[in-house]
Amino acid sequence: MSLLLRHIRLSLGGFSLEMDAEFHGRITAVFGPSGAGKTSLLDLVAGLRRAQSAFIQLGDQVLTDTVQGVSVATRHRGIGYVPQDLALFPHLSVRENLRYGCKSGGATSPLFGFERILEILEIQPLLPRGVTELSGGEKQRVALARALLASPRLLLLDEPLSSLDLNLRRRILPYLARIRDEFHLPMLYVTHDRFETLALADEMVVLIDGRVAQTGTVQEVFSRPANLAVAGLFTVETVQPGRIVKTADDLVTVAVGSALLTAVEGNLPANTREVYVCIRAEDVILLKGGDSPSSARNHLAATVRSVTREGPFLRVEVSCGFTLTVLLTRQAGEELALETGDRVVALVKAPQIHLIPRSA
Amino acid sequence: MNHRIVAVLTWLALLTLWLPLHAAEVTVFAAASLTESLNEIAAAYETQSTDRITFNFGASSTLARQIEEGAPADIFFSADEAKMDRLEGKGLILKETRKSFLSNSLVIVVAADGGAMIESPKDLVTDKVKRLALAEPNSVPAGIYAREYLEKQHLWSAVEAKVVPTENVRGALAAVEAGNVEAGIVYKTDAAISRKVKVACQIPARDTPDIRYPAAVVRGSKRLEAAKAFLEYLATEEAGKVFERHGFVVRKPGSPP
Amino acid sequence: MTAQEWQIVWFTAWVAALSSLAILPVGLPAAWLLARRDWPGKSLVETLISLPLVLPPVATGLILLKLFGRRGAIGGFLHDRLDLDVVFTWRGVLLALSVMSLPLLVRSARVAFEEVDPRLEQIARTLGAGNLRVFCTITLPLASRGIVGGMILAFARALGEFGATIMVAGNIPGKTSTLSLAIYQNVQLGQDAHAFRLLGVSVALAFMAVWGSELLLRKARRKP
Repeated sequence: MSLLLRHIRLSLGGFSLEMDAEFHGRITAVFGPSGAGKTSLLDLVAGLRRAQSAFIQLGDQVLTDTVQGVSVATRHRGIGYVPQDLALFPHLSVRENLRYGCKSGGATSPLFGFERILEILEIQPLLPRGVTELSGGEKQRVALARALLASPRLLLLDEPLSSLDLNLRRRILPYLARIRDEFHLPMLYVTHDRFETLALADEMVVLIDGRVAQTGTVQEVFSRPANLAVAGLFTVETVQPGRIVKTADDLVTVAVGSALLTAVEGNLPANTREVYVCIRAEDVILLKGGDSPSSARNHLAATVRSVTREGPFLRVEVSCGFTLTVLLTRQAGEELALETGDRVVALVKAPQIHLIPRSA
Repeated sequence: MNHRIVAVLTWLALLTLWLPLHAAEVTVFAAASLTESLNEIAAAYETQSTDRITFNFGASSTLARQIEEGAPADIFFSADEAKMDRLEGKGLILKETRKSFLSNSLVIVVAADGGAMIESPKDLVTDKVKRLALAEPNSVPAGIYAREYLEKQHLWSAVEAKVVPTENVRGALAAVEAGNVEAGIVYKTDAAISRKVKVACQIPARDTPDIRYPAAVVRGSKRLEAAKAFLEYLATEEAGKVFERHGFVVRKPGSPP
Repeated sequence: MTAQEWQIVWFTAWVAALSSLAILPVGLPAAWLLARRDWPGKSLVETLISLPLVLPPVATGLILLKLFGRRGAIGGFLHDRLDLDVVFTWRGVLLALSVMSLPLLVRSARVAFEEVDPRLEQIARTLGAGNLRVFCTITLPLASRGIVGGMILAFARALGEFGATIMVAGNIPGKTSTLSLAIYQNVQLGQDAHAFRLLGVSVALAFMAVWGSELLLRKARRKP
């Protein structure tokens, strides 16, 4: 199902949100710093807000057309919404919250099967509880289930994991992936976290100050940010697809390009095969003129492909079976006297390699 | 020479201060039905005397109660003897100043335009009258008189359920004027002041209970002389003419009740 | 306490209770509109609703008397077309109590509605609920404590109403005599013993009403 957001113009306090885009992916990440208008965009799509100008079409149905004066009421849009503060109804039990969106009279059971959703999100034991007794992660899952049980055609999620600690985040992520895989439900996923984006989204749109800075597949945008502003949002320079070939204790061996890397397992769901490998440029150490034993698990023979000055830094791209970006101080770079074509060894410590599950 | 002028001026100044202080303000608590006549009489009195008269009009029952609680009245002018007796029993009036020289009659009134067709008091028990306004029939003189009359005519039990009691007799009059009740029983003098009501029938004198308006000086009055003076004036022929013009019956003092 | 005195107590209690219910269909929508919507003339409505709180009760009573008397704009219609009398009947008492206590309900309910997170209402809409359903299942339950508090305030106010009542309904024994009117009446008649008995009942009723509302507030505070 495609989502068209054309001629969007919405004034928000000091700036205005403008957009003209089309989304066809399963999960589209709306990426950007806070205050960029991301939540307002979701409100617009859900019909909770009116814009000065907007044309919104979901599949075949025109939801909003300011020119023609069309505005379908929120309740008829069939768009599920998991807001940032979850908005669980505090006076209703978990079961009542979940049932709220189900069509009454038992006409159609929810599109996605009541039992199945409860199973996937593991909330069966929570049913009789009051909403206020739940933990953060439990609330998150209930809010998700509630939206799904209303049989939406499109799901909007506003930073669903941002209020959770790292551990919890890593644990809920797979649930979202399961939802995506099982129900084939298109989602608009607002986030400012690159790992979530990588893990879940196919497409992404980068919003900065209310304007679309870049759209494309996640891979494209991350590896080739359109400009400095976009790049500034991502602080991981090297993001490459890889495959886990071996696990031993808590170390995994990942094949990236033609190289083999040793990384720390870190909370990956069992049986993960396909991953993204993320290495921050400043975490890489370069050795010139031969190798030496070191504590780093990864010694990669590399060839310098490019050296660029970036203010007080040198950005060095090396090829070591895959493209690796390295950031050095200028002084270090001058001492090493790096030039294109030089042979070097790139050192990366295992814990500095971040692995993210990737769907094939 | 200068000293003398100053002395004379000072004396004159003091005199102008002393005169108003010496001129008394007499407060009269009087029955509501006396409003128009007393106002007129007081205006005439004030042209002859330096004293000023102020009034507090209301239901005699309320006024009596206020005097009992210590209200600063100089004269009490009641619409029935019972209230005055009560005050006299408590020693609150100067017995020797008590006079009774005024009487009144009762009428049944209806709204002037489109009022109910009442030909005789017996019509009060019919459906023509769904509600009958009386001053509170247990405490206010006008209401007590009306009830006594209806009881004597054996109409009270049939009419009692229809009664709308009002705070004072003017309240009953107002209810008839506004059309919120079909009929009311008030003094003839009250009916006379309102153009919005008309007299449907007059209660004949022989059937009317003995209506009397006693007046007396209240004990503890700070303006004894002025109060006595005004009370005397009320009993004069001059004042009597004003009362008669408003519809009251003036008895000669000492004439049989 | 005589039978007549008990009649006055029961009458007062049930008309006050009835008025607390009668003001709901006017008060709640008004409170909701004031809380959630903006419209031209809103401040005028706010002022009108607050008037009975600020005007002397007899003044309000006078206005009602003029409107609802047999010759009044509304009273005339009721009397001529529907043969219904308001002034000097128990309906007049109900009217006076309702008008005088309505502002208290509207104020409390408005605050209660304003405190309901609008986000919850919005999410309910995304789940397919229409305006009425959102109001009944989300807004009202969440505002219920404040609303009930307002109703209790209104009830207490109605119990003690005097000025407007005596104007519109008079003090007809057995028909429109309320506790406050009866106390006043008894003092007028010099029947202080009766007056003090009725006073005792008034205090007891008021005490229960305030105590009840305190209990409710305490329950609200305890809930997490």
